[in-house]
Amino acid sequence: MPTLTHPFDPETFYELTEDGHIRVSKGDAEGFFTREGVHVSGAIRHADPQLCVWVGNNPGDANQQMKEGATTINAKRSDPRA
Amino acid sequence: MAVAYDDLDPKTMRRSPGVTYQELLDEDSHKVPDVLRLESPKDMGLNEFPVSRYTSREWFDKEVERLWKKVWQYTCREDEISEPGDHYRYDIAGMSFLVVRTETGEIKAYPNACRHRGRLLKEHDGNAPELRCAFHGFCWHLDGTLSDIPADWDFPQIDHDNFNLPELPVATWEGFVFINPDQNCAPFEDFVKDLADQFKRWNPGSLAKVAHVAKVMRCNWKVAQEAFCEAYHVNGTHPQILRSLGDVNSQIDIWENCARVITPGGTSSPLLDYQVSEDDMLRATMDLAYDAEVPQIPEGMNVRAFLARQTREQLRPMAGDRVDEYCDAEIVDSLDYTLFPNFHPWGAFNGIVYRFRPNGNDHRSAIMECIMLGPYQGERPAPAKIHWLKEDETWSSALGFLGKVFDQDAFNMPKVQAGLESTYSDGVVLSGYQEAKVRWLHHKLTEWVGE
Ligand code: FES
Ligand SMILES: [Fe+2]
Repeated sequence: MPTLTHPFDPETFYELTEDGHIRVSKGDAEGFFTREGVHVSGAIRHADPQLCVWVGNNPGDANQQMKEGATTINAKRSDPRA
Repeated sequence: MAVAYDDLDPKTMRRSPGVTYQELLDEDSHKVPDVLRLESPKDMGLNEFPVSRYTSREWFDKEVERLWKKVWQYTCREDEISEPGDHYRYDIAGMSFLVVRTETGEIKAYPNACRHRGRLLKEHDGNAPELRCAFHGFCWHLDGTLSDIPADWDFPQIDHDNFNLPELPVATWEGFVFINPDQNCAPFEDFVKDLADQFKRWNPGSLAKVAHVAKVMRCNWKVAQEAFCEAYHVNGTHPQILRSLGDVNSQIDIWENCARVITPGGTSSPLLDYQVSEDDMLRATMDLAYDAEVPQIPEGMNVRAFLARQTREQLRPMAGDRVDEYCDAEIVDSLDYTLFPNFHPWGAFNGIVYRFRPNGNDHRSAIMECIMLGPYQGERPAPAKIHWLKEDETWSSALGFLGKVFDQDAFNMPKVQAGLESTYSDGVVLSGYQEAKVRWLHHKLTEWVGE
């Protein structure tokens, strides 16, 4: 997952760590957050929750399927209405 | 019945600083179609709308009676019921309907209820030579006429010529099948006219359904829907795309029964107080790291034209040379239309169609669906089947990058519902222009449902 900077705060970096947290850093300071932006550890105690949602969200191979434009998302789920 | 709004003058009305959408169109590398030159801003006032529209059971019940039982609504695509006997189950607000292709190729719609003791006639979509109830075997032909009552000597009270399934009004537009539960409703042609006029050029009937994803969301259906009816939320909800989206430069147009929000891509948000480089615009568009290499934009070409050129070449194998008729704006911008009350087709090759509706009879949960339409070459591909996401599954797992954006919207939805249940305010506040489509939807709801 690419490291992004926040458009309203371009000095602050958001990246996904190997254990699935979001590392937020600014200069020498850092903080770790869940994918919903809840603080886990570190001196930076606040992060934009939506940017955490974004950076932590990995579409896997769905991106490629959509690019190929085929009807590849098949109906593997049953219809909850029934 | 319809409310008349005062026109606003696009030249003098209050608007965001920065380039206007029409000014962006002036820079287009291709001829801009008339439909994008339309401007229809309206003064619909600044009033608040009651919070109870989202939280109250009583209001929901009124909505069912006065809106869902009365209004034209999208059910399925024509090619999902292409063969005689194909049937599609459409549910809305606790009611179920069957949309059926008959022997003669006509499409008919019936309440999904056996006229004996009321069982659903069909609980699944499928194909059947006749509509036979699984409880005691009462059976109707595909055209709704009675075909068989087992041991009918025991029902001397039933007049066989007068025991058809009740027929509901059906209409089609660009491959979309609409029904109206109200047998005395106004004609569909009047209902769809504004939208149909504007979509002629884009001809979504020529596209195939390539994906269809649905999920139950924990909020009132309008909370889900309204999350997709303005671009004002981009700064809070989708900050990562601010460098490449003219969020508050969106143009919002209101007509009688449809409205649109056009949000320009390949331009940066006026909310950023610094100049965004072209490279950063491309990174934001392509979801690349802050320092990633980006393609070189040819001298003299603007970002929008460059992105459009790339996308045209990606689309060409499927769409053919039709891509050259589409201007940069049609390729790069979000052309998000809404037909009241809940049908949201996007223009051009954007291919997105949203639908939002109550989840059964629950006013605190909703079904959100995203249908993707795409161009194709040769034989029309079979329409994609619906894919239901479970509660813990992300939109991105089915729709990739686009789904990732929805996941941010979805992140808000249950919290909006919870906030609305907790607020001390009587009403929700809406901006005058940027949230005009949401305001228009609420004025329409007032018209149909009441205050
Ligand atoms: S800023 Fe819009 S709901 Fe809070
Ligand atoms: Fe959004």
